[in-house]
Parts: sequence; structure tokens; C-alpha cells
Amino acid sequence: MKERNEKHISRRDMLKMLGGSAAGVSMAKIAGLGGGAAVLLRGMPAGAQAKVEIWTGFGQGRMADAMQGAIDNFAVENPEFAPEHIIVPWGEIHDRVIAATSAGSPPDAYRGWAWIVGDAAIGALTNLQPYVDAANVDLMDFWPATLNQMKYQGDVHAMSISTIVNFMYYNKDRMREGGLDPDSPPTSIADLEAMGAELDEIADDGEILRLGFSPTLPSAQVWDWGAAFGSQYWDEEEGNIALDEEAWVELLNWYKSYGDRFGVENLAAYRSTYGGNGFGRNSPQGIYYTGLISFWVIGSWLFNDMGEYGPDVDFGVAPIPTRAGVEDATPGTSIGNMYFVPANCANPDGGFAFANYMSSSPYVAVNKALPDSVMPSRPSLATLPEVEEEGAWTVLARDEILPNTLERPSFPGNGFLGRALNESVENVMFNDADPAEVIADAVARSRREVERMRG
Amino acid sequence: MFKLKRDPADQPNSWRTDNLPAWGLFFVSPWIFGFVAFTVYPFFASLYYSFTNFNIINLTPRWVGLDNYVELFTADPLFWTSISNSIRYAALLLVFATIFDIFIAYLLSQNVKFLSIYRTIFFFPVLVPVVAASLTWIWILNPRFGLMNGLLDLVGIKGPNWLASPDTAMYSLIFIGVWGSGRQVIVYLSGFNDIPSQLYEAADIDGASGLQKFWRITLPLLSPQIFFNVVTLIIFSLQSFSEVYIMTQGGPANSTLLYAVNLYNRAFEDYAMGYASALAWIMFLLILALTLLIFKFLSGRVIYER
Repeated sequence: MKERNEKHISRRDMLKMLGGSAAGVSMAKIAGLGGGAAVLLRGMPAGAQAKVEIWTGFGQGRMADAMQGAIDNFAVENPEFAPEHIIVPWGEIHDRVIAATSAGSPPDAYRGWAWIVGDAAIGALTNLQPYVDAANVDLMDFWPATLNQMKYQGDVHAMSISTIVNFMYYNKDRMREGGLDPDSPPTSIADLEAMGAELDEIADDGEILRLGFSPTLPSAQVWDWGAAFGSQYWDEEEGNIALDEEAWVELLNWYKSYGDRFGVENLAAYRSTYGGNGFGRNSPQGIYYTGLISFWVIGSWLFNDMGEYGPDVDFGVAPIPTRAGVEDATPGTSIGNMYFVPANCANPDGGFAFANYMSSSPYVAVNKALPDSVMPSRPSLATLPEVEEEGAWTVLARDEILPNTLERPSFPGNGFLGRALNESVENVMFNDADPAEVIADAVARSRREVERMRG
Repeated sequence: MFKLKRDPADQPNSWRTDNLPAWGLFFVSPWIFGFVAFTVYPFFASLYYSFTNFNIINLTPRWVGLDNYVELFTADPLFWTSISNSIRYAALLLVFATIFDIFIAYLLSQNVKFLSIYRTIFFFPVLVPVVAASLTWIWILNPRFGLMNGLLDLVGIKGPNWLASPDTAMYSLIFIGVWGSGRQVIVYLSGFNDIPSQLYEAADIDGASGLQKFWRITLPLLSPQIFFNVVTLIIFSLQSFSEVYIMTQGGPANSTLLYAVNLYNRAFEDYAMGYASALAWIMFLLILALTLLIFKFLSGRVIYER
């Protein structure tokens, strides 16, 4: 009996072990799949329809409802497709798409931003130009800056639903408190400095109680202030990064002047204290809604948040002031919100159909772009009556800013350059580094990165 | 490799094995497969990739020879910043954690009331998920509303910016690292418990002072645990990533840009996988060299109880 137990495995034991192994493998697989935060929202019955898998980060609230409405409408207008909406946190969506693309199982379309077009250099995106040509998409019906961002080496690689312009927001209540005319926001950088200084509230020990203005809050906004100081970012002819280094030296000295004025540690403490959760963007206690900052530069997307979380705040928006006497200075940069079709996805036709729908549908422009307080990327949609009814910001964005703005560049390696520029600001402010040296170093390293990405 | 034989004579419902070790291999084969696929293969693949220009999408890396390594050493200031930060972080954490942990383990080895509660308290940080702990520390170290500066304020001290200042961010991370070193405390505690009490009794009879007993008895007999903790702490601290990435992302002004954070940025922000592989191999060689140095200079001084 003993020998039998040692040398034989009963059929029942064998089945138990195999069953256990199968269960283990299944659980491991489930655990692996469940590790992500992706949530399947809605599946359409398959039948003859072709599935279109769409990833976005619109998980909750006003924007999520609008997104689901747009997808439902796509399904109605395009019965040959069955869209599946999968929500992925914004902070992870790009990494996850890259990983999925590498593994050969990306979504058919996903929502991202203009800078992702640079991924075309590493082969991560489907070239949409043949689809655009086949569908006779009118590319002239895009804002020129946005169309530039949609292209990589002359071919369209993304379809833009909307374009973010950046405003200078100003708190009229705070301006009144400080004895300033709330209907005369600053139009030059000198005005902005002077008015901001009027509204600063500083304790005796230097602690900032309320801030009028600092270019470092809510973030350094390097792309926007660089444009406002007259710098370009990309030389199309050379095909590489080209900053106006003189403008950047001026800009870095400007950042530093604020560190010197407030004390860089006091600025850092203020930023650190109130910087959580995007400076409380989705909370009535956020700095924008409580008068803790009077002038700041941020995307148009904050506009409707202001109404939702700070309904009693009397505020206005204006173009970002530019450096006086500089011809190339523009009121910040614009960023296209894009839909991409990853390389090697299962249904590129469906992916393009969805991306094109999001970019061209009046329903989407009115029911998705406007609730997100971003301007439709097509002038034909931006001139719909509903757009003007949305509020004064739309006319300002459409007529004054978009025609003059510099597009946030979408070249390969733009993320590296953005990091290098932010490092430059911190090195000048905290470490008293030489602005000319740090900007030259940032440019040299970033140009090398562009070469690397091109392979 | 192995076979199953049915033995209808006396085992109508069973399978007979001629080779039980083969069955063992069969059942551990998922692990072997995982180990080869997810550890051995990436290990050698990354060595190859470190000599290539490789992004994660294009699966045909371009051979660039030593270019990545040359660029690292000659043209990448962040490489030197991150390696210097990591060595500083590891060295200071090693010193402070070792002193703190030995002291706490000594206290926990005393025969006092509620000892198990004290031990639990000091081990508790090990059990807290790193993300939860990091987010909690961000709030504790908030310069205006944080608990730490609130306590300092009670005694009239204006607290620093902790994580928000290049002058204090690194020390804040080291402080948090020391707080989370309960695992080392447990190792030291076991060492204290292994020291025979007769040695202290004999020292008492000889009139040895407390300090003499510590230097002549405690420290030598604790040397195996110190050696183990020094080696593991150096390895782990040089690889620190999660808590730093959550709390500072390497800032401000790159003052906490540890090596692993820089590597992550290059690999997963820029998708420069070849370059990041070169970074990873430099780190591997650095850790290997440090570990060998520690073995060479310390292992001979370790006293193992016989």
C-alpha cells in the first residue's frame, strides 16, 4: 500500500491536480487582466457589426456623460460599427496604448493630445492620409495651427476634435478689492507684473497669503510663455528643434525675477501647499475659486469648471499678454485634442470612421467640445450658432487667439524638450544657474533626442 | 522525459509514474517558463538592446555599438546628477537607518510591558502599501497644513518646505526611508535575541561599562545581521523608485532625481529603450561592484556564532 501511494497517482488525484493547475492559470490570467483600471462601459451586440474599441479617459462627471452621448450617436449614425468605450485614466492612457501597440492589441481609436503625433516617428500610429484622401476630408476646414499638429512629415496622423487655447484668467472680485478696474485686464507683460504686484498679500515673514501673479503658478507653462516671449520651437526646413535662445534667456530671467521677489522658497511653499489635485480644479476649495490667485494662464478647459465649482466668482478671460516690441510673440500656444488610430489595430477602418466622426460631427461639436469648454477644430463647426451662444470665451478664442496662436509642436521628442525646459526654469530659479548655459544645454540634448527618435 | 503507465492488474483507476522528479519538473514548469521568459530573457535582451537604438514599437533595433554608453558618460548631465543623487541617498539612508534600526531593535529586545504592541508599531510601515504611505507623507510634510510643521510650530520653529525645496527634499526622502525600515529592525531584533545573556553577565562581573559591553559584545555578535542589512539596504536604496516618483518625480530642480527615476523617464516617457537599457546595465554593474566591495571588506569582520 505504501509503495502504491508513492509510485502511483490516482486518476482522481490527477484530475484534481490538473483542475487546480487550470484554475491557477485562469486566476493568474484574470489577475493580470484585472490589474488595470480599464473598465468596459458599454458593448453593442455584435451581429454583422464590426467592433470599434475606443479608449478615453472620460470616466465621470459632465465630460463622461458627453463622451458617452457622442459614442451613442456614432452608433446610431454608423450602424455598421459597434463601438466599445473603455475608460483608462488620463495619466496612463498613452503608456497603455504604447504597450498594447507593442503587444499587437491596441484599441482602434483613442483620445490624446497633439504632442502624441510625434509617436509617428517610432511607427506607433496609423498613417491616416490614405483614409483622409479616400473620404475626401476637407483639410482646409481646420485651424491652420491644428492642422499642422495633425501632420507628421506631411501626412495626417490624427483627427482633431477640438483645440485648446490658453487664456489669461483674471479674478474681477480680487481686482475690485485691490482698487483695479475689473474691466481692464492687463494687455502687456508690464501691466501684468504691475497689476499682479498690487494684489499680492504677503505676511511679515515673507509667507505668501494670496498671490496676484507669478508665471510659475499653477505651472511654469513653458510652451505658452516661450511663445509669448517670441520663441519658435521647430525649424521645419532643418527638421529639428530651433528655439530663439535670446528670447529664452529673457524668459528665464523673468521667471527668476519672481523667485527673487517672493523668495523662491516662499513660492515653492505656496505651490506645494495648494498644488494638490491640480490646484483643486474639481473642488470649490481650489485656488481658482477662492481668490488665492488673481491672474493665471491655463487652458480654456477651465472655463466651465469655473462656472461649476466657483459659480459666485466674477472672472474674465483675455489673451495671454506678450513681450512688448517682439514681432513673433504670440498669445501662448494651442493644443489640438486628437483621436488617433494606433498602428496594427484590429479595425483601422472603424478607428478612422470614429476619429473622423468626432472631428466632423456638429453633434459632437455642440454636445462634447463645448461642454468641455474647448473650441471645435473646424472653423465650419466653430461658427455654429450654438458656439457663440456658449459664451464670450468662444468668440475670443475663435476670433482673437486661434488665428494668432503658435501651435504646441508635435515633433518627435517634444516631451523631452518640455521636460528640459521645465528643468531649465527650476535650475535658474533654485540653483542660480546661468540662463544662457541651461537653455543651450536643453536645446542640445533635445536635438539629440530628436535624432535618436528618428532612428 | 517521463511516462505514465496504466497498471490494470491491481491499479484499475490509477496512473503509475516511473519518474517522480520528472513530475516535479512538470508541475514547476509554469514557474520555470515564467522565470526564463520574464527574467532570464529580458536580462540578456536588455544587454543587447543597450547597444542599439530601440524604441518599444519598432521591433528591429538598430545597432549603435557603444554610442549609448559614450553618450551617458560624456553628454548626459542627468546621468551624473542621478547617479550622484542615488549614491548620496543610499549612503545617508544606510547610515541613518542602521543607527536608528539598531537602536530601536535594542529597545524592542528589552523585557518591558506591551512589547508586542511596540514591535507591531515599528513593523507596521512595512505593511503599508507604498502608494498609500507616500500620499500620506505628502500631506504630513505639506509646508503650510502638514502635521510635521504643525508640531514644529508648537515649539516655535518655522518648518522647512520639506519635499518642495531642493535643500530639504532629499533629506525628507531619507527620513521617510528610515521610517519604513521596519524589516531591518526585525533582523536586528533577532540578532539581539541570539546574543547569549551569559556574556553580559560575565562582562558585568568583570566590571565592564555599558559602552564597553556594546562595543565588545553586542556589536561583534550583531555583525552578521549588520552585514546582511547593509548589503540588502544598499541594493534596495539604489533601486528606489516608487516613493520618489510619487512624492517628487525627481524634483525640485532634479534634487531627488534618483537613478531609477531617470531610467524610468528615459524608458517610459521617451521610449528610448536602448538608452534606458544602457542605464540599467550601468546600475547593475555599480550594484554588483558595491556588493563585491562590501563582501571583500566586511565579510572578514563578521563574527558568526559557532
